[in-house]
Amino acid sequence: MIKRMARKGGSFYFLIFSIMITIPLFAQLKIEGKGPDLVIKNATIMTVTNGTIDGGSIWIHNGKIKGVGKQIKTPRDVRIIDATGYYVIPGIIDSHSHMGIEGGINEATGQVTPEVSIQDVIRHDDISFQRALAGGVTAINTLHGSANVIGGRNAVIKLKFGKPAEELFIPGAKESIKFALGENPKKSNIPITRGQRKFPASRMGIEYTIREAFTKAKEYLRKWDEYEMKRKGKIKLTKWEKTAGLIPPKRDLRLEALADILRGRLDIICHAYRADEMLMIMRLGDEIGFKVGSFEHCLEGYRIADEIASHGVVASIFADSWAYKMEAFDAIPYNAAILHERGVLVTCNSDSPERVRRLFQEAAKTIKYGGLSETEALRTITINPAIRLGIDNRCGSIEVGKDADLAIFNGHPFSIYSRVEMTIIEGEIYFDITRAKTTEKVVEGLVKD
Amino acid sequence: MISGIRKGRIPYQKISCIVVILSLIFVFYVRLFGSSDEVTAIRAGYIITVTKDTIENGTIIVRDGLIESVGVDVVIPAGCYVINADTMYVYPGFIDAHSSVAISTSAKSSSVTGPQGVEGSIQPVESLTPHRLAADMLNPKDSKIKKVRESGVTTVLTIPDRGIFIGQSALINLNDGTGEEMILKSPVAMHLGYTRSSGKYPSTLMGVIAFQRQTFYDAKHYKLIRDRYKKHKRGIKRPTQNKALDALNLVLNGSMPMIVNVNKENEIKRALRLSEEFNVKFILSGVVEGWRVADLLRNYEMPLIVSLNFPKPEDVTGYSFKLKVEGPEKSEKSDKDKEKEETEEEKEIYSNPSVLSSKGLKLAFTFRGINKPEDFRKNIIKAVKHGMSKEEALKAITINPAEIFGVEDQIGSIEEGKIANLVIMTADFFDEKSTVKYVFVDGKRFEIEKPKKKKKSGNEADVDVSGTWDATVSSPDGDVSVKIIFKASGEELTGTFSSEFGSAEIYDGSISGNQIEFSVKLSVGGQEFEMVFTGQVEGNTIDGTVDLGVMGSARWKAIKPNIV
Amino acid sequence: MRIGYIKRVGVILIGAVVMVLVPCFSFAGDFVIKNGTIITVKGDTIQNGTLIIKGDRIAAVGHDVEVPENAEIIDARGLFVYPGMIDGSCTLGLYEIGAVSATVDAYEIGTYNPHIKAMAALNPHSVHIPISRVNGITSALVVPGGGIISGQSAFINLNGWTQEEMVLKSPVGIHINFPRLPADDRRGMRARRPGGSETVKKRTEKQISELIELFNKARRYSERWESYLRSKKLPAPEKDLMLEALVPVIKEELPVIISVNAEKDIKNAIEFVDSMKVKAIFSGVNDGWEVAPLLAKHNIPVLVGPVLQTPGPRDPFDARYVNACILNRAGVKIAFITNSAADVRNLPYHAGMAAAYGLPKEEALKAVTIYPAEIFGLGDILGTIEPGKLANIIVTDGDPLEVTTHVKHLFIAGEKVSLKTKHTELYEKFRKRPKK
Repeated sequence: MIKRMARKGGSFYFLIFSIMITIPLFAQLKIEGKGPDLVIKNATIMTVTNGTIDGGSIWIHNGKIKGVGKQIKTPRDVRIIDATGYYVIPGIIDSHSHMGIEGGINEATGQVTPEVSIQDVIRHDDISFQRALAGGVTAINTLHGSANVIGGRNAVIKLKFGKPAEELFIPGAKESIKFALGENPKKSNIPITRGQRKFPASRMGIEYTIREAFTKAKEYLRKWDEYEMKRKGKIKLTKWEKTAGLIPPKRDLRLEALADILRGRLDIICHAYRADEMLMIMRLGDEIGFKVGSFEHCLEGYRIADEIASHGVVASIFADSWAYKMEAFDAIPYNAAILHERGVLVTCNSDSPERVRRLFQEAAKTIKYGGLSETEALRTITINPAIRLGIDNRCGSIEVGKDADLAIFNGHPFSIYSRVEMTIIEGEIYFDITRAKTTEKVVEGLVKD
Repeated sequence: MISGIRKGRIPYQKISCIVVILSLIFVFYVRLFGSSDEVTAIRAGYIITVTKDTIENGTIIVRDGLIESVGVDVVIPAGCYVINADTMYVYPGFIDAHSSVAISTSAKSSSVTGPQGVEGSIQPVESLTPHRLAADMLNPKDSKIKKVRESGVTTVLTIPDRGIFIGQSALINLNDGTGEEMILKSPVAMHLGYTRSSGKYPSTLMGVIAFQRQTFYDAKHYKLIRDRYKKHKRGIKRPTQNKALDALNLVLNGSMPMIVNVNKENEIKRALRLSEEFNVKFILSGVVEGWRVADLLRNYEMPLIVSLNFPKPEDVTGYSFKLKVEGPEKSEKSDKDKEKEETEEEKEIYSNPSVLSSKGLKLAFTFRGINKPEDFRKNIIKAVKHGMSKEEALKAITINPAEIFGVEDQIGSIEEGKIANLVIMTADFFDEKSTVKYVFVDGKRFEIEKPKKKKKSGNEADVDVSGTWDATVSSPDGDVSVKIIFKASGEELTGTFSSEFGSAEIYDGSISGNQIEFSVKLSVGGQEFEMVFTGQVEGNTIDGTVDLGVMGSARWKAIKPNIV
Repeated sequence: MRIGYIKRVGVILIGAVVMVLVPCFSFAGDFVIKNGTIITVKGDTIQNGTLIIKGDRIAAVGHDVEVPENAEIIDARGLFVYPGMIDGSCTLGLYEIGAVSATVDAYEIGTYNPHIKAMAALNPHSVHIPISRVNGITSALVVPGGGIISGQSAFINLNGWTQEEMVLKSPVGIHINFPRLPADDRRGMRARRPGGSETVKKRTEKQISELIELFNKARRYSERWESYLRSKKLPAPEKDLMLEALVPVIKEELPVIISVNAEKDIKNAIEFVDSMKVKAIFSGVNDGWEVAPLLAKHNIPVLVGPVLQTPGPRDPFDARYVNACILNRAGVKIAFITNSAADVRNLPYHAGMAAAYGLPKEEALKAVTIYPAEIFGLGDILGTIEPGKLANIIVTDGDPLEVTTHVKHLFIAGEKVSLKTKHTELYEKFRKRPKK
């Protein structure tokens, strides 16, 4: 390649090129020493929950953080990463993704399909995981789509790219059923036929669909309760039941999922844009007896921040994406600021394999639009999603005892000029820019393309 | 006559001349008007019995569709049709353990209502047909039968390819009789697949899995109700009969095996989880990535049906893991180095049968998906090159499937009393130059002619699709009428697609055999989205699937109106 | 005496009314921006400098500059003064709400539409225009879409009551979506079936030859008309609006702006441009890193990106981020683009991401200021802070490529433009909603 350039481009280009490739562009994170444990030395550590430590170290042992601080004692035989000039933040958590799913993300053939589960169809060799790791993301909440009113169960997984699918799940994570309100389930933007839309074709019908589904679920619960009571002898059996014997009601996976929402075992992750539809489902929840766990996108959340706060719903938002649909036309990038100010827990999500690679940029936008502090902005992509997903006991901040899920930047994570150079999950390095196949290496012929 | 020779009354040479001439005339006569009822003698260089030692220079006598005798000292009865295969190799007829040969594609059977749930979302589920019998769907005129038989395969386990609760397979001998004459055993096993419906529930893989689980629960509950009703009828509401759930209970109570279509690592693991949930041991079929989970399978202790339709490296799970560090060559560069060398990934793929076999699992092979039936032998040779023993490979297409399906008393080896399903090859099976000369099915002899040289024109379109077609796309929101004007020239397909949303040129169009494929970009509601159409042309109709990207998929049909 | 008194009161009253009304309008007039750090982009940065805006132009920049009378003074102490940024390709004014087709005028039907003008459909009051400019993007190239030849783009300032007031130059180029060869790494049936791929290849080759034929036709048309206009010899040639639109390209007065991404397609496009002897700018160029020296050799400027995209499944993970850097290093003139309307405000972060992955910061800034200006032939009036250029100026509290920077003052063609947008108004309104 160099020869070709020399011939065609003349010696001028050749000179420039050869100078360029000899200048190392960035300092490199090198690992030195031997030992089972890993120590990251002399970095600016943004712990999220305990402030920022300058010139601090992190000691990782058995996949957990064993020590964090300015001066920590570590064993003799450790591998050391000299991170002078680098910033370490907790591994980024994306609370709304559709990566790693095999065989379709929307069971859109019916409006109510909570029996399906993303956990059954995780595709662990999805190359998007690697792209996300290169953006510092260590865990994602991967979801059913929003094509129907009541979709399926989520999966909360760590991006341990290279490990088999069953090892990705995070034990103890909250399980949710995906709900969707608004334009997507009523299919208003896909007029494949004229005048032949199925029910529900309006937000009115969507409300009814949810109401009806839970009514049937309550009926299902009642039948099972009755059976249990009869079995335990608390209710008298009928004459015929005494002779023939008792049979449990048929197990219905669909109604069971809805019943589990009523019983609080599953929560609702609700795709919603418009303020009125969010109020609708909160009201319905109060009436029927369910709680909404989070509003996904929540673009008009700023209009009803107090109501969202009092209902305890998490706002899982886009930082500034808007205008692609009618219901997204009144979205404002100051959404996070108003919600946060009124006491709502805010998380910045991606819902995209492109945005997931730069969630730190999205978090920085909450500083720009409305003035969240640096720590508050960092929380939206670390501890806040961890709390939402029920994994904050082990992820989301750099604290002793938590999983060693870390992202190492070569500058302040909110500076546009910084990039992720290493991503660690449970003490294992899953992304290392010095060993990854980069474009520069391909261009220089160091790797085969 | 023989006693005359013994007693020396008739000169030996004279007698033998007459005998030879007479038998030649007889043979010649028989050759022209051969009948399957004739007793046949095969004098073979090597008889590979599979279950016992190989017999060199032995003879097999076939009578009434059965192997009457086999051995070195076998006497050839008078009036036999003799095949002199002195340099050739005779094998038991090969068995394809999982095929869809001779299944009539037009057979439809009534489906039963699917999982009950919230009203408004119940749809009759097409894929709930476990009660359907392959034996009722046979098409003895299927052109594939002859092609498959000519590669030496005499018996196949046949069942439709697609579906979820597909039905019950039949083991058929590939003779040229009627459907009933082909059936060796029916039903053999129940089959479970993961085919997604388009536009109907379940359209996603997770939907299929939920549907499978729900249906098993339905079957269990149904059994409780039915069993109770059998004993106590008074005061209990009469349960409705459900053929599908009746059939499924045969699997749940262990009286019928269930064969599950799985190939990739995650697919295998899903099937194992389902098996555990309902306490049913499945026979896994396909398992091309078995090597990735070999220890899991070894502990599962069930026989496996292993596909010889080796996948390409880029289609194997985990291929993308290699992209994170040093990546593989981009495909255009690999034109330079014509890959004569096998890559590491390919070696792993071809070693699959050997890895599974070495774990002590009983394997049967299937050739599903391999386009040219004679290619299955090439892939078996590949498997042997990568570690599988020749004996195990042969067993996998003979006695192993026979045992797995409970017909080891009838087929699977060359033994006295078994059905005369035999293959006579010009050389050893594992010799690449070997070809099939004769195939016997139920004792009937089929002589294999040398294949004519195919014309160099490649897959010419069997049908000319040029012209105007009225089509309908069936989506979850209803049907859309479209008009398609096709222009076909050879394999290339162009044309225009018109709907109420405007017209667009079709692109990436091709017609190969009766398979049609093309794409269209439409602008609907300000969004541009791409639809990929695939389908099968039959006369004046096309039937197929259209992939709508993130919107899912739908079915489409087209008819060419006759212009008077 | 009395009349004089009335006059004086009148003047004061009128002055008061004017002073009250003034903040409601963008203020056109003269401005002095003092005490700021001025990044001219041309070369040096001026500490504590003064910038004079007179009319629609930059009158002076520096330390000892003459301050005009009646100029409004803006104290830029602690702030930074930059040239307004330029989006090299977008659909501002042609797109309002994506899913509502009635609001989208960015694409037209038909394969060859060189006569279709983006300017004709530009809505000067699109909500996206104020929203984009308040983050520092003061001008942009508005590009039509659809077909193989989409039409003519228009270069606009993001301020004006009518199209004419906004448009600085139209046409800027004729846009072509170059026919694409089948992608080798595309998953799915098309890529796998060899018959399918071959069909696509043949179709692409056919499209390219049709394009060449069209250009040749335009060349002959141009020659016919040229000869007629010289000699006036009857019969006059027929008028053809479509071919006529291509004549400036044939005459090398106007460039073709070719949207092309894959390596093989780029090579085909270069061959096309060479054989047709037309000036060219390439847009997109995702695989630019594979063919950078070739593009440099042919002097083809590149509107690169959008940078914030996912790479192809077989590409290195940072391909889209590093692309601009490799092109720039090889000597290709680059400009950043968003190809959007709602997302134009994020243009600086495309540039910033490229800088994070190797592009020198100064080059990143140039690629959203002087380089696009030069590529579109407007380098003499835009892109840097130099006397005589149009006063498209932003005064910020930091580096405009950084996410957390805010624009404090905005000038487009010398007019001070309000920073109020639909978003800021909704923010103010709902911030004040009484707490429950």
